[in-house]
Amino acid sequence: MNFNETPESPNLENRLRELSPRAASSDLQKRIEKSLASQKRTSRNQIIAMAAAAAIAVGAFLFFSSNAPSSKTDVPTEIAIRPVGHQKVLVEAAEPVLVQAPGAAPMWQIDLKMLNRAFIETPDGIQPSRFVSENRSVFMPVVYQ
Amino acid sequence: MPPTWEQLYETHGDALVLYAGQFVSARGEAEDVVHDAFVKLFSKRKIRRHPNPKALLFQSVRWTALDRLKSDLRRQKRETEAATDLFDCHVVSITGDEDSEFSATISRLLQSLPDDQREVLVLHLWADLSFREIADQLDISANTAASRYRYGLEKLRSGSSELLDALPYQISMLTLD
Repeated sequence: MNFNETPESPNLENRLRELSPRAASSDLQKRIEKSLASQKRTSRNQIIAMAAAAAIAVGAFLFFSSNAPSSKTDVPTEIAIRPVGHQKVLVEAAEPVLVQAPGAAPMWQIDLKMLNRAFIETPDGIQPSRFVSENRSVFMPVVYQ
Repeated sequence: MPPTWEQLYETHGDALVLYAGQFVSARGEAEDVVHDAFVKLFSKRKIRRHPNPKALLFQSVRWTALDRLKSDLRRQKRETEAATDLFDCHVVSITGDEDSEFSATISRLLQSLPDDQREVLVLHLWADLSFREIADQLDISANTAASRYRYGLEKLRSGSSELLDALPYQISMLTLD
């Protein structure tokens, strides 16, 4: 589309076009090449790391979905906790479960997977009867699938 | 098939450095800008999907240079130091005495042009961008780009008239493409 007539000398334009920009320094291309190669390496490493992380995540998901407990509310299981002995309680469940007191220390995670029952030590200074009465409600069954 | 960075560099590298030099104060900085522009574009793989890689490259140089300018200004404010070395705006590779004189004159005249005119001149003459492409890049109308070019060219012509007296005076048609 023509949009303007200008009283310029095309010879000036031609002369100017014939002038070439001064050449960039010889190492600029090498610098760019290096940086891009480094970027590629970084990207590749990131992709590998992400793929590895994804594979681990998928593996972990598959493992836990087949072995790990499901949601605590999936299967309500009756838990019986009885004081036995001086500082011990017997925990029994109707089916193989992992019982745990939410937010409690690991010692209160009781694996009943094999026998449906386990003896556990009560914390020092806490009578089993008191432990049962105060802690029964916080034990939640988690059923293995 | 989109061009590789090597192809783009081979074709436009020198013009990109010249263009970058319109913004920064030293030739080394201009090369840094071009370097950063290439790395930005190719690491994001933007250029592969772009219909006009050349225009994108010049645009990337512009943005990179302006970012650098902003950061330089901030630094200067902090350090209260003014840049002292003006960019040595060489646009030529000298091949003979006459060319040398002409190119030196043009370089000096280019330096004296207003920034907006000089930028359009560089983009049109040495980056070979159309007025439409320049307009897109600078966010101005194609008519404005052409006007700036015309004014800039007129100043170069009058400033170098002694050298150009021997050249015939003609009417040229500026076109968008």
